Amino acid sequence: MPKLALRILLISLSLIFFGCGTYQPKNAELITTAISEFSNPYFADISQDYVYKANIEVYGRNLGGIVVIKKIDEDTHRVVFATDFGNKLLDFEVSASSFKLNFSVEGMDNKRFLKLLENDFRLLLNRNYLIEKTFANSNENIYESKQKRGMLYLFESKEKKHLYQMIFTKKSKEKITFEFRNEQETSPTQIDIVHHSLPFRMQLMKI
Amino acid sequence: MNRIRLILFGLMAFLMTTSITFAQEQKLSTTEITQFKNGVIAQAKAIKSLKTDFVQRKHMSFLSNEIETSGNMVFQAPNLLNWKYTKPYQYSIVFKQGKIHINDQGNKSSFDASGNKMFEKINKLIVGSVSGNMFDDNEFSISYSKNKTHYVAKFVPKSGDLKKVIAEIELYFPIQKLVVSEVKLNEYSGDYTQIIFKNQQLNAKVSPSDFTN
Repeated sequence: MPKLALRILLISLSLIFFGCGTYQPKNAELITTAISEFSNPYFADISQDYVYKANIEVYGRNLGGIVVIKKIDEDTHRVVFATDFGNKLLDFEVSASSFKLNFSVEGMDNKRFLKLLENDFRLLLNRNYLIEKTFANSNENIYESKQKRGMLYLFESKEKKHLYQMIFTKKSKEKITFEFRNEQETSPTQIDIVHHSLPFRMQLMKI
Repeated sequence: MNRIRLILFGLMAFLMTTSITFAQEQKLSTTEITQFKNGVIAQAKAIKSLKTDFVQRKHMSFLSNEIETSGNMVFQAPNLLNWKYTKPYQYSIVFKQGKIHINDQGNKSSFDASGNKMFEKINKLIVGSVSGNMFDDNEFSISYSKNKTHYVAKFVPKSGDLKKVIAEIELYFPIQKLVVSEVKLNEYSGDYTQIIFKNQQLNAKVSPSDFTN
């Protein structure tokens, strides 16, 4: 009997654990669990240079400069951070499965900082998101995509048919929000990346 | 077949000679170097203030286009400086009495940099690039040349933090007027930043408000 009681207790606990572990987009209903793909509408044109004025707040420090994003082959983007004067600070290449640091000035080569940028830009620049579930309400479609370390939710406006938000979650908690302001189809005019469990936010304004 | 090869060879030789002619830079003799340096130092001493517009072009080999920004700059001897971008966004940095004041699209910040060696170097570098007087042999290996229109001074940092980020600084001086008209910052990767000064006003009237951002 104690064995059975223990088993029941474990099952209940695991149910509670897994029950809590699922993030559910607010005010939206699950409409399908069929697997499909969502193509990233942004940063996909290999002939385009995507140039942004950047404002970064990290651990209470403010950094300004320029961020350049360029698709260099089918799966890879090159990202460069530079000062307003043009001096290169950081230069890396990122794809779904790789990360290559081309250049970094001293102080920007912090491992945790680079890992954070690698993860953020991998989520931002992914070519295709594999969708496992689709939720919807009257205004938006919300696509759930499983990532290495959590779940990514892509919010698409039904009216304008554009991707205006992505939320990365871990164990049911919102970890990173990406917001896109978009007057153009191929790249957002403004991107806000906010980390909820780290003092880090980045605003990119298209120039 | 041989004819085609000859024509191609001829074309190649032609292209090579024309490119050599266009890029022709002649090294200055020791006498010319002394004359040039003295001329620049005398001119830099005569500059009490300077107002100029500028266009900045950032070249990165993997981009389709250069990134162009532009603005204006006000300088007052010995080391008051306001460097201001107005297109495509507003950003200004003022160097004043050992402090740096930044206005980044309305977000203002200031910090004290007096006594900071790196700041002193940057300040010296900017003021030197603007006035032209950057002939510090301890800091740089300097080479001098001229083409049809300009004197060109090339500064290779000898050591320290500057050497880590900049491979070479080129300053261009019009032969008729020994004031810097163009700055080129070359990186080790081959990428560079080019700054071209336009509408330079030497000893223009400046006021304290020119150095407030």
